[in-house]
Amino acid sequence: MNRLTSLIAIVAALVALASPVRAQQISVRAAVSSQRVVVGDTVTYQIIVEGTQGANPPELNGFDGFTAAYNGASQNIQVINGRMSQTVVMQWSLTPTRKGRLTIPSVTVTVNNQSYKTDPITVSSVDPVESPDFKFRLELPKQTAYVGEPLKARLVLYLGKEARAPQFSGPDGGKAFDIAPATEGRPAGSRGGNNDPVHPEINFLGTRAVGTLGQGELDGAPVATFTLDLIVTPRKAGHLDLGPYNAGLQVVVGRRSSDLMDSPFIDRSVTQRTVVPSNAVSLEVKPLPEEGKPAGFNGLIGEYTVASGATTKDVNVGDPIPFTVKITGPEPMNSVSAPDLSTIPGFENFKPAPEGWQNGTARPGERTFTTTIRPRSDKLKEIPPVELSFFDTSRGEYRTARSYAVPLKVAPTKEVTSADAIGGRNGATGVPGKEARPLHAGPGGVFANYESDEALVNTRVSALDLAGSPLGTAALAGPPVLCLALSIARGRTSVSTAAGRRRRALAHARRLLRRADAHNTVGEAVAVYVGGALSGEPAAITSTDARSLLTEAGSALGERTERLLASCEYARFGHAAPNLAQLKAEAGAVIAELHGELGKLS
Amino acid sequence: MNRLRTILSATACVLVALVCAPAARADTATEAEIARTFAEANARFNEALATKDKAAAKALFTEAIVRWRALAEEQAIHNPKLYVNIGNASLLAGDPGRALASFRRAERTDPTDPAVRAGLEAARKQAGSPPPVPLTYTERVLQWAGYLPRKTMLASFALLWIAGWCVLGVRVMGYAAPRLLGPVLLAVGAFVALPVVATEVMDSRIAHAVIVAAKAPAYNGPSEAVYQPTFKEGLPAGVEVRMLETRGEWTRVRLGDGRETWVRAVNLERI
Repeated sequence: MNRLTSLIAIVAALVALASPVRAQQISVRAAVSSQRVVVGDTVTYQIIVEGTQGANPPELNGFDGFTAAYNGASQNIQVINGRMSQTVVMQWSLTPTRKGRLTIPSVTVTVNNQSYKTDPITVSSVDPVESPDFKFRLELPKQTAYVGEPLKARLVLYLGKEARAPQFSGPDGGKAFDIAPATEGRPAGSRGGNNDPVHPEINFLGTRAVGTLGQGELDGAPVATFTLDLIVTPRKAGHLDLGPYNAGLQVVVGRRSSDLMDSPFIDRSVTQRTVVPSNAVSLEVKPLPEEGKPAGFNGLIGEYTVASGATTKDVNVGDPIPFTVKITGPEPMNSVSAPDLSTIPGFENFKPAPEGWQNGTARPGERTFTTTIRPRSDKLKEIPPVELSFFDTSRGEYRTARSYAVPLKVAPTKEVTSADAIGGRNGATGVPGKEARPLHAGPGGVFANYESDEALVNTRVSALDLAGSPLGTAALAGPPVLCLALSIARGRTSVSTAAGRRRRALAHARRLLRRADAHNTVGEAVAVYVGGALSGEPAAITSTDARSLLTEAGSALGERTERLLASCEYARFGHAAPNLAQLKAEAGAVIAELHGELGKLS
Repeated sequence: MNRLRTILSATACVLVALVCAPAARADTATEAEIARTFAEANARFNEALATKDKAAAKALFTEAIVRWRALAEEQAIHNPKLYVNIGNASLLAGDPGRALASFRRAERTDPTDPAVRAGLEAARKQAGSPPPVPLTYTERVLQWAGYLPRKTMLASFALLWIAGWCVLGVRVMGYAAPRLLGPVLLAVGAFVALPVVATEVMDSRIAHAVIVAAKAPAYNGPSEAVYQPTFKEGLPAGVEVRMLETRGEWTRVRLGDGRETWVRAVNLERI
């Protein structure tokens, strides 16, 4: 049993101690694809984590002079000569936003709850230069605008040579202006995607945009063009410089000769990276006048119309009426929201739906909102017109658009109370003869956020992580190691102690007694115990010797033991012998009593 | 007896040294910084809820997400409530893919939370209800383990483990104790810990992911120049997949209906 315990303890200790060793092999470093880059072009930044597969990409925000876009991660596992190596390579595209020596700062990467820092890297960023083969122009239809007025701008790239994969970069406007691709672009029926022959999709400042391939002239020669329509919205008054923007291109400079192993579909073009800068344009931005600003004005600039309608016009008091409002105006219409009915005169006679407005269709230049209203009175003859205030830039003044009133016929009926909607248990309302409508589950949706500190408690309990921690290692390895130590200690010390001798002699004697099939073996078992317990040679112990030894040790069982051994000796030499089973029972009892007595005497 | 004391003392010293060993300390923020970041994220989220300007709201939701993710990833705070917050904000910002990924993470930690289940349902609905990836036989067998309180299971294991070894130690010392009690305690401990450890090992080996790009191109092989598109259109955000293989920037995935395709790893978010 002791040996088995020791073996289990050693295996458990080795297993428990193995886990922390692996965690020490993790290393993290950073690298860039080039130390020199043109403003607006991209450089690939990699963080390489060796020794694990469990690294999460950090958020690269706030790099001075760069914008960062995460491209993904690749993982690699190799086993060479039985040794496994694991690598995770996380990759970003960094785009410098200004020239000069720019430093990519140290980045913290968390691996297995440990943080590692990369070294900072310095990159030289230079301005792009004009090329005779390419021209990039930014066009704006007007030089003056109001704050918040959406302006249609256009970027045109003239391609004097074959080029691929245009990438656009430049200022996103910050707090001075917004710039975004125009929503209308690809006509219905075009294929879409990056490889559309006429309207390819590209990435513009992190947003998918649809460009248009066409024809133009560069220094009198017909060339291909790539046009991108944009919406620019100034956000503050004053002088505004728009651009320059840069176009990064893969210019085809040759073709690689074909190889027998090449697929016929492989593009063998040899390309060279080129960045073309655009011109910059100026814009004078005027603030919106305070004079004449309507109370309900919520920042709409341009010319808008509003229409309203109801699908049900013959209702009872309290019945729901689906009510739709359609607003048309210039894109982008991101800031267009449903009207606040509580501020429009006449709508106080209607009970609005508690869930508010639902967004309907959103076609270019048109937004539709729907809700439900319930008439409170049978005296109502119409749904009042909806009003929408906006600033008309063509007239330079505030205006209010109004929809037509919707005729309505309302019949009297019972008053709508909460009891109509919410009943008690089993449908009882508390009013005799009146049954409540049951509550039906809503359309679902997300629950409220958690804002208490409970959300900051790390609730994940990982058995493997715990096993690798010092406390876990101690808890796992401690008990078996302690048991092993006890086993070793007991094994050594008991050799020299009388108690140990007695214990082993008892075990040996009992084994002999169990197997005894003759009288002399029974006597041998008793002699083995007496000799083992009292440092005598069992084979040489006679019945008389046993009595002497036991008497010397202070035992009162000397005489009984002598009689027992004598009986065994008589039987051995052919004299009349007692029953073997009785003799074994007596021997067992004598040995047990001797063990107890000698234990007390020691 | 002296030797016994020496060995026991040495063992105790080794164990104490193990417990007190200076572990490599993570570069963690202070509690005040964590609380401030959390408060900022909550404030951005509430500001986004209040604003009527959808573009501004989206930007505010994104700012809140960045802060919550920093807490979850950089400070290693794995809490289903935090993931629910990220999922809600992603959903409201119109990013069902990342919302779904976040709710799936929350589900792994606490599948019983009603907010997690509701968020997951809403995210799947916004993503167009693509079929979720069916569970493997092993995942189905071990699914029940996700509903067990892990802390209780591991604490029970620790108690049984220590008790089992104590009983064995008592027997080694020569005192009377039932012969099979120690091994039985250890076996029960192993039975209690087995589903927890098996679930963790399985989670680390079977990678689930969600498509986060709006229309992630999917091809029959790891190159868009060589292989044909697997589908006429790209995979929409929110499609749940199982990652099967990674080659460079490409990952082979299996969809909920069993079909396989290759997508760029950048268009996936691993759960």
